[in-house]
This record gives sequence, structure tokens and C-alpha cells, in this order.
Amino acid sequence: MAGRASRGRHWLRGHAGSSPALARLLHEECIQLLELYRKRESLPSSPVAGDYLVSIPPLVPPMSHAEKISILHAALKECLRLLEDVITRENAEFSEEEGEYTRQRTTVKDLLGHLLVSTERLLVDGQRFEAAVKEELDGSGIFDLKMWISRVLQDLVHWTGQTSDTLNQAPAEKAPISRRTRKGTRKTRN
Amino acid sequence: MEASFHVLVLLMYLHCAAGFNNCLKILPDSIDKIYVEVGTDFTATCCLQDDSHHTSDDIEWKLDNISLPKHLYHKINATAVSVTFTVSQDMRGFLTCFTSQKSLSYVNPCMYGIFLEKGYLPSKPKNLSCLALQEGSNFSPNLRCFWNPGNRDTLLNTTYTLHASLDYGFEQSTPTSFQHVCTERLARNCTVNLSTFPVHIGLRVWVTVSDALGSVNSDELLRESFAFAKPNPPDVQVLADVIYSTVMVEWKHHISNIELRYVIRYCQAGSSVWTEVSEESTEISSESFRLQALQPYTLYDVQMRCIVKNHQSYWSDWSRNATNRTAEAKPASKPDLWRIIQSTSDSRNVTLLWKAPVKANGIILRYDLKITMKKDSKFKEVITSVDHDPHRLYQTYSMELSAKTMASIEIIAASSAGVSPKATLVIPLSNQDPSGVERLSWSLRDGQLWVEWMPPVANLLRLSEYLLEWEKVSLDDHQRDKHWQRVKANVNSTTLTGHFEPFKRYNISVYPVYTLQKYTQAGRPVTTAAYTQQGPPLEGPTANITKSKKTSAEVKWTEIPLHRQQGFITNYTIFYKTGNVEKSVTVNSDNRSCVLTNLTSESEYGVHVMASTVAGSRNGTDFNFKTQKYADGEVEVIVVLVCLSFLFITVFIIMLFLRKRETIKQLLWPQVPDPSVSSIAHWSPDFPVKANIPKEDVSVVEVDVFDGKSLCEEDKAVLPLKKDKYMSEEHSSGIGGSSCMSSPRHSVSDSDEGDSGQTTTSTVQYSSVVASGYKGQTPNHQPPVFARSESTQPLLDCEEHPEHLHDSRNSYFRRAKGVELGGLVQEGEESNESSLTFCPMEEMSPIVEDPPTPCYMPQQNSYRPQ
Repeated sequence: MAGRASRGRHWLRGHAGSSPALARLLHEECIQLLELYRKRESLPSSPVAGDYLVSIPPLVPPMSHAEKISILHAALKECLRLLEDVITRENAEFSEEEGEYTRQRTTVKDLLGHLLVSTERLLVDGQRFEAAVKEELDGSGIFDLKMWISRVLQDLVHWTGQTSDTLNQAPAEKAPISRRTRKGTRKTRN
Repeated sequence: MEASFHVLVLLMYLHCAAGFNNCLKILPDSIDKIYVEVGTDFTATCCLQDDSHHTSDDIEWKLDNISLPKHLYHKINATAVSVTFTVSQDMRGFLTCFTSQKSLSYVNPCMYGIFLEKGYLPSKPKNLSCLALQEGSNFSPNLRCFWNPGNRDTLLNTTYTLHASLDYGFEQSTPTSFQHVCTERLARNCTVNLSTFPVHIGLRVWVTVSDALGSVNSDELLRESFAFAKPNPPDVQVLADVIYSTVMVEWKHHISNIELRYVIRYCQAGSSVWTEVSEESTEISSESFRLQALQPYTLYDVQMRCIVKNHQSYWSDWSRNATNRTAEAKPASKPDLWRIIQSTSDSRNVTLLWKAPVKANGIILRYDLKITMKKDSKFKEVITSVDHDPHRLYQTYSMELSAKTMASIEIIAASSAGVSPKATLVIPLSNQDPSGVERLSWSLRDGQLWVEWMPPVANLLRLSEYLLEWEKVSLDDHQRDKHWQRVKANVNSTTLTGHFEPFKRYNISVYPVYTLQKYTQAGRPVTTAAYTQQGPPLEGPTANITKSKKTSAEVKWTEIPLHRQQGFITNYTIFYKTGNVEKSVTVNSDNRSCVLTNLTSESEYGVHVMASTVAGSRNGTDFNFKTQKYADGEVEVIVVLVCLSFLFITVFIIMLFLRKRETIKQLLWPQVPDPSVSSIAHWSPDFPVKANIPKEDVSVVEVDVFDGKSLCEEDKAVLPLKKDKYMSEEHSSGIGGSSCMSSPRHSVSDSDEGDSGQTTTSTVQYSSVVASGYKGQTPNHQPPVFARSESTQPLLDCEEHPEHLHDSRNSYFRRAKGVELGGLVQEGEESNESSLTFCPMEEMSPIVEDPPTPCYMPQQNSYRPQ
């Protein structure tokens, strides 16, 4: 059995610290995914030329931590959308079999989704931050697609890294006491 | 069974629908089964339709075709009657209501039925736990959960739905959840796929179990997702280090991007006593650790396990053993030196034995031996090296040592890392060993030999320890392996630690070991024999009879060889049997012979000897012997007694003869009358006896009753006449009135013809018979005189006329036929006829008519001159 592993809802007391850890983990998973892709596609380890696909306002010091998180959160949402697009395209173009890359790709997508949800409560209430995708997939060639996928993965590495750094630089936050009630999924005896 | 019942119900239902008016209805009603819970009350209402001609009083209920009691009915109104009953487990569930006809007019019967399916509400799953194992470098998204479903079967189809929901610690509008349904009845586990194992996120897990009667949820598990994770143990390697007391442990991180903590444990190979290095000692990022303070040249097993940082996950299992040996160091203890001394007449054969140091800390390569011998103030030193033989329990070195030589021995063990401390031993002059221990005894404790002794008598030497030596007794002295162990001086009992075979005898010796300056010296040993387990002897004694007598015998047997005894012989029992009678004698184990007494003479005995230990007995081979007829000297006594008896009888007879000499003499040699003194010589011639004696009346006849038939025929006519005469007159053979008529006659019968005239026991009587008148006629002359002569003298006339002897015998004497039968057969017919001839009376007349001249008939061979 787990030795002194957390049990019950008391783990939530440290939940504020779980998002940075998740972001760090996600960042490493993204790096791994990019390496797997480069290895699979025999691409050079150097980054593909070009700017990041996702652009956000500059994270300047006057910004609050919440604002930074909110901006990064917006960037990550775009990243997730791009990743899902990649998955769709790859499945459509290559009809790949289950492999290490595809498993890692799913892991990154799921973790990214988890990170987005887990950082929602850190966002600035009532203020909406947008991130823009400067370049969508241009052209229908396979090479263009792979280059575009590389750039998406590079963006993932970049923005998860940014998020991880930002979250880990944030002051310790107290987790809000959850007062929510469960909805929907619980079934009770009829 | 259940299917057939359903078919039956369906047929009944169809039959009802076809044959009965549909004027009734049951509420609740369903074309499917109506599920009811066992043990609960169920109420159904039967309603008459509007067009019915019946009343509620006509309604009756049946369950499984058995009428329900009226008291369960409840009349609601004129057209409805309800029934309430408790659902039982043995209920089949076909409930019908129908109308019974009570009016005289014919009314179509009404009937309606429903089918009830009984069951239980599912039990609440308990003890829910979940586990996500590591797959590759990540935790598996498959979350496998276990629970206790309880023991009661719902009797209905049941589903177990495993739910998993991500919990981010705050309220979500669309929580991410996963679920999986397991339809196995009384399922105990189920697995839900989470797509990706969530990390750093809360995970809420619960189980919903459902059947037709309802559903129930288990208690929820809400954990940080790592709490459900169980990593695999790390891959561990142990590297030997040049430093003798350390090894390097290395491992690999194997879960990507998750910080783990590790615990190392190690023990000497084969041991189960582990030493643990806590996870605080291993840095999170490190992948190696140096184990220190280990024993040199020792195999160590190392294992590791891991857990997610902050103990968030389950502990992994322990890894497999990674084993390696530490480096060598110089021996830390001295060799265990001992000796065996076998004394001869003028010297001693000393064998040095030594074991490798207990703390060898490496491979012993050789032993350096230094022997210093001192004799009459002269020293001699021997330095030698003996290679270590790892296949031998101990090494040996033999030397001869005279009785007047003292030796001191020093030995060190050498390995590649250095040499050991020095072990020393002194062998004193012969018979100068210090005193030994006292009251040595042994016993068994938990199957092991426990030896006790008392300390030796105090002397000037300092007692440093005791040495216990033991060896298995075997046939071959050379095969005896010596074993020894040492205990401290303050210990007077210990368990011998070694492999002791059962049923084998071991000689155990205890030596006090003294310290003399820097040397040690052993005292006199005290030895005892012991067994760890005794059994019956493998063979019986071989016995034989050494002395067999009339009523006793001595049985001797040989001792069973020690290696065949299997225990201490407690006694011997001698069984001896003759016929069906068996006896036994038991003697103690010291005896090798036994005298069997009270045996039956001249009898066959079967004997065998049985040897016994505390654990059993074994018979020797049977053998037989026979007791003698006579005891020793009995024959000699009998012979002596017989001889003495014979001698006594002989002497007695001789004495008797000597004392009765005259009587015997007279019997043997009767007195023959002396004719010279016979009175007949003085007979007066005036007695003319001869003229008056009718010659036919005078006869001397000896009638043999057996000769009646052999008489001559011519004599037979005469015989009666003669007999009459004889019967009327007393007469006898003897001397008649004439000397010629005298004839010898035996007065005793004698069967031997040859001896008839020679017998010494018969007395020859001579009688003179004077004839009287014939047939009562009285003669004119003097009455007949009968005179008997007692003379033993021979008849002189007979000597002068020996020719008459034969004739007279043949003519006048007959012998008994029976007595002379043998002689008759031998002599033949002629002899027979001649002997059986009766003499005619005429032949006697000349004799009678002869003048009375004295005449003696010779006694043929029956008379011997004295």
C-alpha cells in the first residue's frame, strides 16, 4: 500500500501546487513528444525556422501573476486546438498505428487538457484574454504538414515551458475551499 | 427448469386470453416481469371490468396456482379486491385472479395473471481500492479497482459500473469522467480506462451496482491520482569496489518526468536479515549509492523499491536480488589449531590440524608453520608452508616427537591481502598433560547433543577455554573425521554444532585448554560415547554352544560390531526352545556368555540370542544343540557300582561256599557207602531168599510216563500186571535181594544223558529189594527186607564186569522222552528203538537166580572216587 500517500480530500490543500507540477510534467512530455516526432520523421534536432504559431501579448513585469496565467492559459488553449488538429490530420493522412509517438501524443493532449482545467481557477475573473494563431496550415503537401506539425509541437514545448515557469514562479496560493456539489455523474438509488 | 416454467406460464397466459373473458385486470400490470424484492410485501389489485357480470365477492387470488388465503384479501369496492402477501424466496411468481361462478346462470369465467420476478436489492460494495500499474515509462491509464460485493446473490441480472472522475479541486460544469460496466454477478473487480493516467489531479472513484430492483453506490475514493499508482521496482546493479568494505549500487530512473524516492536494503547472501537505507539517504536525482561498512570478501544481496515523491503512490515491489562480493581484506582471526597425539612405546606421532580463520576476509592461500622442539635444553626449529586446500575441512601436518621432547607450534594464515594473527600450541613432554575435566555427561536437547562437564581441579595454569572434540566411530580408524569446537572457560555446557548422523556412535572428548605465556596447552581429555538417535541393532549376536551337558549348556556370543549396533546395547536375551516350550534368560550388556540350566537331558534345543537397545531389539541366527544323556561322571559311577556289585556278589558266593563247604560237598559228592562196612556183608547164608523169590515177581522198573507208547508190544501186556504189583507194593529201584538185581538209579531227574551217570548232585542209592509174595501171597520165608545202602563206594562187581554196565542200562533204565527229545532226534531211529525197548523179564532171571554174590553195578559216570 501507499506508505504515507495522501488520502481523502486533504490532498486538495496542496492542490494549488499541483498545477505547476502538472505544467512542468506537461512541458517535459511535450519535449519528449517533439523528440519522438523528430526521430520518427528523421528531422534535425534544430528547431524549424519561423516564429511560434501562437502569439500572445508580451508578458511584461507589470502584469499580475493571474494575468500572465490567463494569457498563457489562452495560449495553451490554442495549442490544444492545434494539437487536436494535428491529430486529426495525422490520422487522416497517415492512418498511423498505435505506437510510442501516438501514445505520447495522447498523453500530451490529455495532460494539456488537465492543465487547462486545473488552471482555470487561477484566471482573472471577468477578464478575457485571447491568443492568436498567426499561421494556419498552408498548403496541402505532406512536407508542409510535417513542418507545420513540428512547429505545433515546438509551440507546445514553448508555451508549456512558459506556463510551467510562470506557475512555478508564482507565490504560494491557498487553495480555495471547494464548496461545489457534484452534478450529473452520480447516480443514486432510485 | 426456469425456462420451462416460463413457457408454462406463457401457455397459461395464452390459454387465459383465449378461453376466458378479459373482464379482469390486475394492477400493477406489465407485459414484462414485475420485479419484487424477497421479504417485502407485495400488493396487487384485481379489478372487474365494467362489462363484467361478477361482483368483487366472486374474485379469488392464486399464486403459483395455489389459492391465497382469504384473510390476505382486501375488498376495495364492489369491483376491486386487493391481495397483499410477502414475497418468499421459493415463490415462482405467477399471480392470477379469477372470478368464481356463484350464480345459477352460466357466466363466462374471468381470469387475469401477472408474472413476478423475485430478487434482492444489490449489496453495497465495500473496501473499494484501485491500482494503476506502471506500463513502460508511464503509469497505465487502466485503473483496476477491487471491492467486496458481499455474499448475497441478487438472483437478478446485476451490473457493476466503475466510475472514475477527475477532480481539479473546484466545481466544474462538465467534469471529466470515465466509466466501465462489468456484468459479472458478484463481480469483485473491474477496470476503467482513463485514456491517460492523470497526474497531479484528484481522482474520484466509486462503483455503482444495479439490478432490476434498484442500484446502490459504494463509498467514493477521492485521492490524488498518484495514490492509485504503483511503480515498478527499479533495475538495480551492484558493483564491487576496490575498497574492501564497500559496494556501489546503481539503478535507473524508469518513470519519465515523475520524481521517485528509493529505499535500498542489503544483506549477506543467504541471510534474511536485511539492513535498510532510508529514502532520505538517497538523493532524488541520484542513480547510485555506496554501501559502506560491509564485511570483506562477502557476498551481498541488494534490493530496491521506489515510491513517488512525498509518498504519494504505492510502494513498488522489491526488486530482484542484485548480488556482488566485497573486496578481500587480510584475515582478521587466527587459524583454529589443534592436534592429535598417538603415543607409541618411545615416541609420539603428532598430527597438527587447523581450520581456516573464521574471519578469513578472502581466499586463504597458504599457512606458514613454525615448530620449535626442545629436548634436553637443545632447540630445533622447523619452518614450513602448507598450501590451503579449500576442499578439506581442515589442513593437517604430521610429525614424530619423542616422549622427552616438547614442542611449541605457531601458525599463520596468508591471503592475497595479508596474513592472519598467530595461533600457538604447546605439546608438553609425554604424560605431563594438565588435569582434565570431571563428570562429563551428555544428553539430547531438541535432537542435538548437549554436553556438560565440571571444571578440572585447579592448578597453576590459567584455564582459557575448553575444546570439545568428537568423531564418528567407524570400522576404519583412518576414516575418522575429527571435529572440534571451542567454548569459553566460564562455560561448562554447550551444544555440539555439527552434523551428527543418527544411529552412529560418536566419541566426544572434552579438553581443558590452558594458557601458558603466549602459548596454549591442552589438558587430559575425558571421553564419552553418545548417539543422537538410537535404533535397534542391524544384526543379532552370533552365538554358539561351548559346553553342553545333561541339564545345562553354556551359550557364548560375540559382540556386535560397533557400527552395526546403532545404539548402546542394554541387554542380551537368550531364547532357548525345545518342543513347544520356549524360555528366555536376560543378561546385561556386559555378559558375553550365559549358562542355561534346568534343561531336559538328551533333548534338542533351538537357541538364539537377542541384543537390545533402548530403541529395539534384533535376533541373532538360530542354532541347535542337544543335551547329553548322562551327566559328567555318571557313566563312571555306574561302571564302578556294577563292578563293586559283582565283586561283592562274588565274594559273597565265595564266603557262602566256604561257610557251607560241608553241605555243598555232600550235595555235590554224596557219601558212597563203604561196602566193607556194609551190613549186607554179614548177611546170614541161612536166608535162602533166592529160592523163594519168584523170578517173575522181581523186577526193577522205572516207568516213564512219557514212554508209554514206546514200550514193546509184548511188554504192554505185562506192564499192567507189573504196574499193579508196583502199585500194591512199595518199591523202588535200588539194590534188590540179589546183588545182581542191584542197579543204580538216579534219585533226581537229569535230562543230560551224558551226565546221567556223572551228575554230582544226584545221589546213587543202592537198595536191596527182597521179593515178597505175588499178589498178596506171602512167601514162606522171611519177609522181604529192604535195605538202603548209603555207601559212596563204587560197586566192585561192576568194575569187574564193565560189560554189564551198558547192557543193564539199556535194559532197565529209560529216560523221560521230553527231556531227551533232542537227543532222540540226533540219535535216529535205531537209537530210539533200542532205547525204548522194555527189557523182558526172562533176562532178569539168571541174575535173580544167581547166588547171592555181592555184586555192585557200576554207576556209569555218576560216581567219582572221593
